Amino acid sequence: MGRFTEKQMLLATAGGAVLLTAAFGALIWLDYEAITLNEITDQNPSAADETDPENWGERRKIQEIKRQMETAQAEADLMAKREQDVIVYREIVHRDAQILPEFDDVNNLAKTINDFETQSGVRLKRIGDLSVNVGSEAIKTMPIKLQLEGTFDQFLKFLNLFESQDRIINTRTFSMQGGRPSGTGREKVAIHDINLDLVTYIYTPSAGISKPVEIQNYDRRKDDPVIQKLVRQQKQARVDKYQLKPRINRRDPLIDPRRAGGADPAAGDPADVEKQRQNVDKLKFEIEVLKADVAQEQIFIQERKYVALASLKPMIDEKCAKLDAEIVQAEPLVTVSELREGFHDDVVVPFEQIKSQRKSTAGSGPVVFSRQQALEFLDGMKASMELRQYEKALKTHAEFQAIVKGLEVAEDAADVLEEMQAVAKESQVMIEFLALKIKTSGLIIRTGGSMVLINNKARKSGDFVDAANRCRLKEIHPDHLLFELDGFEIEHALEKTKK
Amino acid sequence: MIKVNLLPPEYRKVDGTPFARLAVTIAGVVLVACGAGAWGYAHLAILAQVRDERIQKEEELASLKAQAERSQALLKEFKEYQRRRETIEKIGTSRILWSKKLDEFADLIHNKGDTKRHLVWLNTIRTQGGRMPNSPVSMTIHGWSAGDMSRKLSDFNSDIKNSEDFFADCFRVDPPEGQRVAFDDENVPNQAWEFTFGIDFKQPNWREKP
Repeated sequence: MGRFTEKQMLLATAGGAVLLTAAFGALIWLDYEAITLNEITDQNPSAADETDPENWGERRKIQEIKRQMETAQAEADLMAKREQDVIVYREIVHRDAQILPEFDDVNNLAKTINDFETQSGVRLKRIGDLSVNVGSEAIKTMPIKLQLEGTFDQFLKFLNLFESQDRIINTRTFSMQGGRPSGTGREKVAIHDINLDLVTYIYTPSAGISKPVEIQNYDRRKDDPVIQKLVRQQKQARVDKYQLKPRINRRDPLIDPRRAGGADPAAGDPADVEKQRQNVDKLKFEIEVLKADVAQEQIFIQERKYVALASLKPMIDEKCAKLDAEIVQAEPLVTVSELREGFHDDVVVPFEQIKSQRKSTAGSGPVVFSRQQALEFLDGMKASMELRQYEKALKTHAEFQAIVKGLEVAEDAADVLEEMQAVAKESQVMIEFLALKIKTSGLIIRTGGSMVLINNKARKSGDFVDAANRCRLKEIHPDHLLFELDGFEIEHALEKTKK
Repeated sequence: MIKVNLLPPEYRKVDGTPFARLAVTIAGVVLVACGAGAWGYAHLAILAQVRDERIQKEEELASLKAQAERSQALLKEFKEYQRRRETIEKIGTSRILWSKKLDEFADLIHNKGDTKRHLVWLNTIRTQGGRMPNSPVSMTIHGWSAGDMSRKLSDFNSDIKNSEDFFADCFRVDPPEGQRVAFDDENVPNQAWEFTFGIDFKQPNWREKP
């Protein structure tokens, strides 16, 4: 094997070194590419067009990660608010879902329908289509198709029973076909054919949400005032209801109301009709007057004018008792349908309302009767005394006793009560004294013992002037006599001519 | 002249590496060493640092993504509850209380017993879908207005329209069109106007746009 020449050796050494250096240069270039390939810079904005991650260098990858981080951060920043929103809406839906039937309600629907059938008087012929709609919705609908028969009022009641449920059952559609009437006059009834499509709803809280997001300290957070306020701000879903009132003598709109042949059986004798009309009008008028009195009574209660109330209340009680009797008496006598309607709507119903209203406000008097309120009564009694209206003073006292019955009277009103008792006693004595009808017809004044003719009998000081020996003539004066009755001294003025 | 070195080889004078070769070798070694050093710096320092940064960012992103996913899940749940609430609200507000409407309508027909203005009775009452925009339901009534005067039918139609309670929830009622019919029964009046009215109901809680 031949040896390299010196020149060859030199060339080989230099060439090898250059080749190795070039190899390292290539490696450096590859690393540079691995770092900067398709990095988006001001000089190379078009690098953004490259979407294949395989063609991205490390810096481009970092750029992309940063971009994703910004998006993720923006989402993460909303988490607190979204947690709050979820808590609020979970609570709102939990609250509002109360208007939807519970699972048990739906299961018991057949029983409910039967109960309503009994209560309303309709007759069910067919129940159908109780199939729950298939789907992943949380709120599923369940139609109820009913075929029934009954009178118009029975159907109204049946429908109203569904519509009065706390948990919603809606009427989709219905149809009524008038039936053949039986009976005559007001007794005429017809059983109609009715189709009723109802719909109810079933709420399944877990449907539609694969797994509810767990929120830490949920129970504590939902009671947070801010959350509670937000829940309250959202108007609560409600179920409108209608209170169906029984209508006396309203005719069935699906019954032919034309009268048979000649006369209207309901019309009757014109004189009798007129009498009925007058009676109903009179009762209507009395009801209007009573309404005004009751309104005044309510004002007195609100303004705490118990003195005035005490005199008005018995008057209204008396009117009510009288009207009650009159209404009971008139009820069978009002036979004309149109008058019966007015009698019911404008007399019976308002009267019952007044009675129930007064019953509910019967306890609206003061719980503790104050000194000031007692003073009003005392002042009234004193005023009556001054006017010598002793019966009125006694009546005021009786009213006071009636109104404070069962109530606590304020401690500082004790002296007022005592004074009222005294005034009442004085009034009583004065009434008894006046009942003696003392009439003087002669008077002798002398130092040894004056005398006076009372009711044609001569009396001197110390004599009793009544049969029961309760009223004693105490003193005789030229211008007046002084009597004593039940511990009270009563001055009786004498007419000068009789002296 | 020919020089002959008779010394054994181990005693002979050894020649040094030629300068040119030495220079080339040293230059080559330096060049290669620099290249290797530069690559080592680029690979082990710069590239490794950038990779570490990327890995760190990826870890941060993973953490943020978990939060973002939870946030998204919350949003999805919120929207679901919002939808439920709207549905419940719609169920509640879209309800027509038919017992109320029928009660009011029966009052209209009865007219407090006043048969002078009109005397109407029905054969059918049925409800169906709306016949006009914004009307979710309509009620069709078929019946008769007793008497030979079409005015009574017109009065009944007017009473429907003028009824504050009943008509407040309605858009319109069909005009008072009818057909005179005669009855051969014993009842009086023996003539009537047969009619069919459609009544278009408003959506409950409907408000007129200002």
